[in-house]
Amino acid sequence: MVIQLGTFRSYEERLEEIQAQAAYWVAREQSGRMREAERIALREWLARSPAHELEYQLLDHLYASDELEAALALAPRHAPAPAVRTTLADRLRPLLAGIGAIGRPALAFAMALVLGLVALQQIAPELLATLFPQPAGLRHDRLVTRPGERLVSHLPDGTKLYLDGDTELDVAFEARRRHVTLRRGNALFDVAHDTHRPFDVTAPRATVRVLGTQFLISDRSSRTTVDVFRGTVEIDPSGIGDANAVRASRGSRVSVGSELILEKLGARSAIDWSEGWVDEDALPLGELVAMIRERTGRHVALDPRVAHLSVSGRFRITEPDAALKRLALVYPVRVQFEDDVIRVMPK
Amino acid sequence: MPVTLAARTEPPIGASERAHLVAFLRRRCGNPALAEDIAQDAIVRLVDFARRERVDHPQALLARIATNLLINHHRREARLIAGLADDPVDERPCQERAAVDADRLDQLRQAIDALPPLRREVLIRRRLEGQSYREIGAALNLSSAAVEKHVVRALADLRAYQERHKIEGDTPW
Repeated sequence: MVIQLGTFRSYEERLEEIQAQAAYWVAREQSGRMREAERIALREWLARSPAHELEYQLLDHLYASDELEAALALAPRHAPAPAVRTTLADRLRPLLAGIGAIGRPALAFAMALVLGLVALQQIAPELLATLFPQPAGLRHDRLVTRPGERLVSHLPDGTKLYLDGDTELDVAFEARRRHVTLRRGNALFDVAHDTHRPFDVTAPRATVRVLGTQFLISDRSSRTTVDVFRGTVEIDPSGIGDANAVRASRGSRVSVGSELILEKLGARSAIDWSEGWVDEDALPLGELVAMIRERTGRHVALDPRVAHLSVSGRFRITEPDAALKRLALVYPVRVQFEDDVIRVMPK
Repeated sequence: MPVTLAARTEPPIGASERAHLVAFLRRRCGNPALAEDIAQDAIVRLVDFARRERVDHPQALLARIATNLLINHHRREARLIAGLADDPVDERPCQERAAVDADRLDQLRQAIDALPPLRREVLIRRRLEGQSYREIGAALNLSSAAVEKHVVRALADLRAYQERHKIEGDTPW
């Protein structure tokens, strides 16, 4: 039998406080500036309750985790504000004074307004944008990457497009629809949910319609594949006669080539793609080489006799030398490294 | 002063909870013997925990303790084999990589997206780019103390987000 005072709060009730304290200590440790006295204080705090120790360790694991690193690598950046900034009024004053000297107040005022707006456009475009918003964020862009390049594009609604190398797409962000045309290459879409503004992607062989989801669409030589990592998409295969649209949900892959194939995606994830991992069964070697070229810009000369060889496994295309070397151990190919080209030939 | 009398026996962890916990750990690590060991260790720690703190939800706490022990174990192992193998071809069959991993990453990305932009930038510079508090402060026009405060708040925010947005497969119950 234990007697407790009602003011004695449980671990769960104190959890938020404990987490804040744990955050303080983890950040302190990470600063690399802990003094001996602080280390002692940390040890005492940890010894005071098993809850302290538990929360400290959980947060420390989170901080050290590869997942945090991967997630931060994909996070949007914040541009630092310039350290010194003259105020807008300071910079406009001489301009206004000059115009006022003309004498006719009404005209001067109108001119000041026009010139002021022009000046504002130069000095503070973001302020102008708030004063005179564009109608519902209309935006038309063409995004192009060269082999070896990557590009992340943020749409006004928070949707993110991650372009692989050698990719070209058009973005139309309008009041009633969001439309992307993938001309070539491959791109990962992280789509913000918005029922009033449907999002579709037109690729050479299919149109993909979504509400809010995450998927990877790749245009390959013989097919277009759509890997769905989250949510549901509807795919309308334009390339195949009168085939009906199919719905694909999380964890599935739809390939549109000469026919439409629906398969399970297994444990592949968007982060794999971001980190350069390719996890495939029976992938033609030619396609793997094309992915390496897109991602790294490296030139791989592939003998046409082995272009259709099916390879399976998990490869890191961002490390082409090592990945191809390993491939040569298992498959009947020979890899030769020259200055600026990797040659892949039959054994 | 309000006084509650609580007749407390051992935390209500019976055979069925234990079996659930072992199954959960086995799913997470794929190793039945390790799952048994960690479940046992976690239950012992829960008993000790409940002696020193008032615990409202022993099952949820047990899951946290067990998860922490499992991560401890993996980190120890990772340190042992670190440097021995840096292999561009992953030997593990892809099925073994739990779908939970992808969900956890998504959860973390959403948590990071929810941070205020400056706080997120500070965390990226510290954790991803390894900049010192002083360097971050110079780049973002902040004092070192303010930078540290941003790191503290960012970490607390991430943990709080994880608590609020549990993902499927993250607890045994």
